[in-house]
Amino acid sequence: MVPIPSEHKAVETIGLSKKFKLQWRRGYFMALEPLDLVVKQGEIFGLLGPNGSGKSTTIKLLLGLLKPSAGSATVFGLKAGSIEARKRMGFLPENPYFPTFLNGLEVLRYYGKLSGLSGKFLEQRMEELLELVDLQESRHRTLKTYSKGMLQRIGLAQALLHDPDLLLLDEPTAGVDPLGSRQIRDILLNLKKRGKTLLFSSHLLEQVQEVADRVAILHQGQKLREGSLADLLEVPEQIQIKLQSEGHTVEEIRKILTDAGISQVEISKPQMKLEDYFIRSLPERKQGGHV
Amino acid sequence: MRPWVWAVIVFTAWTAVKVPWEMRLARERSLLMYGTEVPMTFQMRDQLGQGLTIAALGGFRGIAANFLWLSVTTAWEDRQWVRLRSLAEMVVILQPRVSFFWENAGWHMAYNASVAAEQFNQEDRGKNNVESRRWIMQGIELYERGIQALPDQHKLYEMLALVYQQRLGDYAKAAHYYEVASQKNGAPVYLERFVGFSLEKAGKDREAYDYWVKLWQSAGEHGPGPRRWKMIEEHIRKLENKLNIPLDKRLFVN
Amino acid sequence: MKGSLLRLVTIAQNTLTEALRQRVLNVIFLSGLIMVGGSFFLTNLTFQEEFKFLKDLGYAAISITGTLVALMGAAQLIPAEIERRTLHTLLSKPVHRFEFVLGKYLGLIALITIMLGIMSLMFGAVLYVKEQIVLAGLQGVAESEQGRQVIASVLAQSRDPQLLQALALIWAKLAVITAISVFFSTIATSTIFIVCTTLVVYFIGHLQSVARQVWLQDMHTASFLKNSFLAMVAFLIPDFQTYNLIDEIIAGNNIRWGSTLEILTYSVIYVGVALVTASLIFEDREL
Repeated sequence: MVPIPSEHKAVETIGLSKKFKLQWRRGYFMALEPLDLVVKQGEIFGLLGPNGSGKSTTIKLLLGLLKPSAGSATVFGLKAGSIEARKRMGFLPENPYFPTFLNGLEVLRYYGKLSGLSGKFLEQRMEELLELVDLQESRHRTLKTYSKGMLQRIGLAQALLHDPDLLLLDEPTAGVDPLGSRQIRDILLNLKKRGKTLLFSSHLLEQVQEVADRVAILHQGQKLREGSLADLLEVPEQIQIKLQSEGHTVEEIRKILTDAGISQVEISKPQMKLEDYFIRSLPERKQGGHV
Repeated sequence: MRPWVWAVIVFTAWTAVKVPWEMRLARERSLLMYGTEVPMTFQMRDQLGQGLTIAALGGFRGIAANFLWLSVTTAWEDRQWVRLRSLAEMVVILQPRVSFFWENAGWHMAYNASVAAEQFNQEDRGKNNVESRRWIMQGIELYERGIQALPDQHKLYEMLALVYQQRLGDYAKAAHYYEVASQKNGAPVYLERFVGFSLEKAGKDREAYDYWVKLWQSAGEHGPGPRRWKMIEEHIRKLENKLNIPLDKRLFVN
Repeated sequence: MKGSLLRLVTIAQNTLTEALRQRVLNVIFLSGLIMVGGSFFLTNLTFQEEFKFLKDLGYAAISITGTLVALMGAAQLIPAEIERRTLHTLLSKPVHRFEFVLGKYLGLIALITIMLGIMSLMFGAVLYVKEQIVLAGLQGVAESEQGRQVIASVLAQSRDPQLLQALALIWAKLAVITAISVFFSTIATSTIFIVCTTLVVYFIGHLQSVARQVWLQDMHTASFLKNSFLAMVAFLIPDFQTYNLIDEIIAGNNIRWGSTLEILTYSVIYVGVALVTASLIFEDREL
């Protein structure tokens, strides 16, 4: 494997681990075994795993919300959790952990100021992001009245306020309906085009498959696999061919292949994804509207 | 070093400064409030009981004293003098630096309780008088204790003088306390005249005369005003005649 | 430095906004206002009694309200952020943990200052109205010397500039209580625990001077356990009796501004130490 130059690493962890002390002297719980991970700049990296696999722990360690028990982590060469590192990071939490007594505009202003923005520039960014996440009309409503999808979108907006180079997303589409998920996904792909690095955790595998360049699979705190999706998902010794034929029946095509010495031919009709079918079924207005 | 270790160091360093500083503030407070460095906390604990002490020491002594004072007023209306005395005692212990409580507690004893004792039983006047005097002495005791707590205020001296004058007929003592009262900051001007009046009433004409002359000579001008120089002149003239002061030694010849 | 100040002010503003939108705190404040206003209706008392009662009740109302707001405010605002995990989002921004603690404290003290200000204004209005009523009743004797004395006494009680010192002392005491409450809220997560521990410190703080006296006097004769306990109280707990000068001021006795300023300085330093300690402990806290 060709080593990645350090200037191209957005995130690097070396032996990063975390153990929690259990109450009443019952010993320790290993939430994350020593983890070696690299996320390249400009890629979308997925952290996969069931609940309790260590995904959120990894993200919290990168943010500095937890201190590592051993090992180290850097973000763009800066110590993970440091103020300098956090200036280049944006975070979308799993559940909408925002002050619900504020309205959309106030919450963006609040986080914008905490990110070091102020004045006209901040107001401008707020407008841009409200438009990006399609929440202009709900800006004056308190977050208490927002739906789950709206909260995720305002969450995305606050994460992007200071134009971070690295975006951490913890289960970004959990609990969001297909339309909302599609919108979030499009935004993420757009960000990637702009050179941003995205690291997100999810257990919705189909959605990960659509956006991620590389993934790591975690289970009970251990990294089981890591690599590009293309490499990981390739089925060995099988080739998938899609063809369009006019004039040949299925049986004729099968005979051509078996005559050519190809065994184990499986022929079926391609199917579109249920999500695509669902979205296409909605009236046109709903497809572009908000959740 | 771990942050919590620094936290312990910072707080420990502060405690080294905090305790001596608090001791100094407590000393100053004691001197101001009690005139001595010994706090009254133990005395309060004995007299008031644990519960009230907590409230008393909880920074709400004023409220506790005020509500007890309402009970004092009720006891007065009910003419329950013994109960009034013990309630008043608690009040002045709670707030020894409130002149109003000493003034009125002493007044209740020396006037209301003592007069009630005089009128209690018409048959045994001797016993009544003894009882009445006992209440007057309780009032005096309260005024004297109040003066210890508030040595710079004129009011308690004035009221003590009034008790000696009105309840005990001891004009000499009244004159002494009027004089002390008149020298305190903010004392009303009429107190200086009460000294002279009391001395005269006590039959100490020579001392009264010397006092009036000293008062007269303490001011450069003797025009109209609150010091009532005309009245003072009349008293000097009267005493000059009464004492047969030689003409060349008189202040007023014609 | 400028960035840090902006973040502090932002967190403080947000804390103030949240507190103002909380029903519990508004109810406490309203009760305090009613107490202050209700003191106006004390009747059947001499004017001396009235003014003393007014001042005692007014300052007690301000003190109680401020203490409750300090307790409930700190106990709710910080643990709630941790429980709702809004703290995770906040600390994902380039915000130092000490900025969070200090910002929260500043927001809370701003709330207490505003409440104190409003209650003081109301208290001043009550005093003024009472003064006018009493003075109107003294019209007939205004010309006599004794009457003039009485009027001077009324004005001295109702317009005593030392009352401002008393307000400053109450504010200082509340500032210390709030800092203690914030300190506990950075090490605990349960609101009830924070309220109870702060209340315990509050009560023991009023007996701290007694404990200190006993410790110093009986140091050589008392048992090790007794000595240790009393020493701990003396060293760890603030001496709230320090603020009893408020009673002196209400009684109309002369208190130098120097004494008040010294107590204010003591309070500010105590607050500083409490917040620094809280920030250092919070630095290590896992979220």
